[in-house]
Amino acid sequence: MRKFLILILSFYILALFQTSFLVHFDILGYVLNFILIATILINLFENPQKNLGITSAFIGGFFLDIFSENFLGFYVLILLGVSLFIKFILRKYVRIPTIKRA
Amino acid sequence: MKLSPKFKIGIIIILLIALFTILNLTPAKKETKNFFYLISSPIQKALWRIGDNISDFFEMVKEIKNLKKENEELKLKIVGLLAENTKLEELKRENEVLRGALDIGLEKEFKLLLAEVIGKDISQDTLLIDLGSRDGISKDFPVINQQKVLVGKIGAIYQNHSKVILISNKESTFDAKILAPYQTEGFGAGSETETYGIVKGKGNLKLFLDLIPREKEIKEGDLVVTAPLGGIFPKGLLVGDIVKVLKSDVMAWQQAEILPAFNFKELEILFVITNFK
Repeated sequence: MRKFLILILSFYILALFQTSFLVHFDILGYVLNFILIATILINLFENPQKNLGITSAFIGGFFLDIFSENFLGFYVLILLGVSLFIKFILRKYVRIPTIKRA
Repeated sequence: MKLSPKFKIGIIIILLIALFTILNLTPAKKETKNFFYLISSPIQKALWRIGDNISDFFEMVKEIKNLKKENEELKLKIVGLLAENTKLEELKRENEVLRGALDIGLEKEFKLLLAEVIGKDISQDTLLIDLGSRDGISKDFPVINQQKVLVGKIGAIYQNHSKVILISNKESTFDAKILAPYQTEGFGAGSETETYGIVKGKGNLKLFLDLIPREKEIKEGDLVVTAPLGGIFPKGLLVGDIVKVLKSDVMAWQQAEILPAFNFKELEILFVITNFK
């Protein structure tokens, strides 16, 4: 639950930062999407068997939808798609070597 | 019955799509967004203001760099325009001189060459002009200005330049005529007479008229022009006007000081007479 609240607060702040502050510093008309980056990083570095990445995709997507002019669910579906794709790749094709204690 | 993970994900996605479709089709979408906007607006405003200020600062820095470049470009342009302007001014001046010369019909009377003064030497009473032997200049050619005022004659000649010996030079001597309209007394009173003398340079831009017959009446302000006797200068070129008459009982001739008609400081464009009748 604590993790969940921290995630909501972090993504809310990131969404605000992105939509109110970063829009002034566009690069060739594009603004850095920190929520997308954060979601990808969480999905890449968490245990592929856990679902925090999927949850973060949902929360991040929701806040992006709130502060964008797209219909609700646009970013949620995109981020969920990205998360599921990363999870699928990690579960299916990537083996992370671990050292087991004797 | 245990559902497979793929099936679970599929159901969750379908449920989400259904949820968002309903939210988008009902006023709930607006209510939700409005709620978040309401609680976020103070933070958003602050962040917007900070972002705006910082981006303005960077824009300014970027603009300063551009301004520097633009300033350098404009300075170069100014230098180019100044050079062009100077050239045009020179052409304008030359044009005006030529027009002046045309107005008094100099080109009909003489064959002229336009020369530009490129050096002056007051102590020697000489000028340096930009015409030389290459341009067909020869020694002793008369030099006048656009007002038909005698300035001097060609001295030393180089390939591209020549020295002009001013009439005020100590070596300069020539015959001149005083234009005194009417003799008021003595022989020939009431009629136009001709008085001749010899103009000698005294140096330092001063002229002196000598060997004027004693009986001739001359006065300050009388004009002195070249006489055809010597053959060096064409007749009728203005030399100057008499500023002081020197006459005494012990002298066999009269003398007079002449103020040259040209202004030495303003001599910039001259004409060299290459042929005269």
